[in-house]
Amino acid sequence: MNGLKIGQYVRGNSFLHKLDPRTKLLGCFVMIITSLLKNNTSALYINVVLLLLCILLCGIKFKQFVKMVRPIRYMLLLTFIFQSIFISGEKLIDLWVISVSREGLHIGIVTIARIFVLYFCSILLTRTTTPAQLTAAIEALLFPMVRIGIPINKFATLINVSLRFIPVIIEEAETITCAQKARGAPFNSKSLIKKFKAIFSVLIPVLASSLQRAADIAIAMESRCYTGEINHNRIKGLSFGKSDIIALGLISTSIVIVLV
Amino acid sequence: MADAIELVNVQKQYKVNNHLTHALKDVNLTIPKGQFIGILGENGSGKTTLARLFNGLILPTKGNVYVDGMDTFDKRFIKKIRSRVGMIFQNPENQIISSIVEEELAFGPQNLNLPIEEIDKRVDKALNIMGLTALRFHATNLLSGGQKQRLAIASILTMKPQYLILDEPTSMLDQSGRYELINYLKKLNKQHNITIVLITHNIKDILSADRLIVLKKGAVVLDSTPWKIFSSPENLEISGLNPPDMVKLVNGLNKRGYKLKDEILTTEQMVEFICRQLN
Repeated sequence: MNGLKIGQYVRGNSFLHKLDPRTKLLGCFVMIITSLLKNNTSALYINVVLLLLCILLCGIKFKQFVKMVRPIRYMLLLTFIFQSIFISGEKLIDLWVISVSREGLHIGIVTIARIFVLYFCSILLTRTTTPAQLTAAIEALLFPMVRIGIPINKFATLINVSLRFIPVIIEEAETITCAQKARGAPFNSKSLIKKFKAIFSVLIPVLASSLQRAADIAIAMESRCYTGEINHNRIKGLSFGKSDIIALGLISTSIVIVLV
Repeated sequence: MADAIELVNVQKQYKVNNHLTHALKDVNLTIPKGQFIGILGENGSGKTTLARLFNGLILPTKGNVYVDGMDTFDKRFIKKIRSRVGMIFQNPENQIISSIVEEELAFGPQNLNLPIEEIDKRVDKALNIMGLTALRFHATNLLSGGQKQRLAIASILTMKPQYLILDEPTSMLDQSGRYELINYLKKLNKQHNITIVLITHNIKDILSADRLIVLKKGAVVLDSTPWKIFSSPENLEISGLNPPDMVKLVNGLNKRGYKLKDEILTTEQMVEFICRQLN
């Protein structure tokens, strides 16, 4: 469990690392929205090109890139195959019962591009932004909502703490799985019901210990003077520079293209 | 009043299944600044309750707790009290809130709303004291248990505490991690004049303490120096403690007619004593 996990912050000195976290958060948001809009694929392709550029700027080598795509390779492949087979239209290839249509092929490519954008937006964001920066950015961007009674600062802390404990809980789940296996839990059973029960035997202990953990963390935070107040200094620490203007400029072009 | 943690006639009761249990019965204690204090006691003797009373995490049912003259009942003082009385818990994992070492250290001073330059200065200093400078940008979940516990202490140090309460901090560490942590605590006590209150199961941790407090069933039964507690049979009977091997040896030698006048608790002290005799 000591390897580098997907979604983990990696310290670096790249263009993306130096960007203001607010810019990155806004950028991700805009990219995802414009990519998911229907009937507008040009914005999607621009986003893909921009993201590839970001990956290059981030200093991610081709080998690492392949490693990142690995976990979603089947998802990409299957969506592409199903989209291209099951959507009817002008036939390109016709093999017995299977036929691939032009429209299907197009939609397949669009879907892959969309998944790519969603996946790499979040990966690049968490790779180049520390959780505290992310928290500050969320706090700063959603600050107006405090006026209408939504506790954004608490929400931001919540995200920060959950990001911290994802690897811890995964590790714990693995330990409990091993413990239950040692007691003969039928994880490899062919019967679905038995398998389901075995999964429950892990889920419930993990949940119970997470609740205990939550109580411990609350006490630890409280004894370090956490009161849930808004921290103005944290927001002031963010700085908006020239590179942020360039980045926002690039992203806004994709909005313009969608609107035109 | 000032410059000490004072417990005055403190009682704490819990209601468990409609049944009142007394976690602490009429405890009077003064923890003056600068001491290294060990608290020993069996499970359920009220050690953790006592620790949490020190910084106002829980409030006494009866009596008062004063930190440098500030009453923990008074809500206005709560931030001041908690930044003065730092608390370290048993499980290092559950007290680390951030994913990056540097940000973990900044969490406390951020809650105190300090300016960024000041936070930066404090983080530098705390990293230096706890020997974590090289790990500044490290991910917290990749640290070892000992490193995590040191990180937890460092992130308390950034609040500039006067007192450090440690609730069984070594119980989840291996031998070398435990030894290292105790040495850091001694250093904090001697060089930085931070009062240490170390709650533990392991008597090895607190042999060099200035003062030892033994709790039994919610009451303080002994409050003395480690040597006085471990060398007198009556005190051992009261506390139900098992003396360290070295003390057993010294007591045995004294019984056989060798008059060792020194207070020898550890192997190092014994080695020093023998060397002095040989010269």
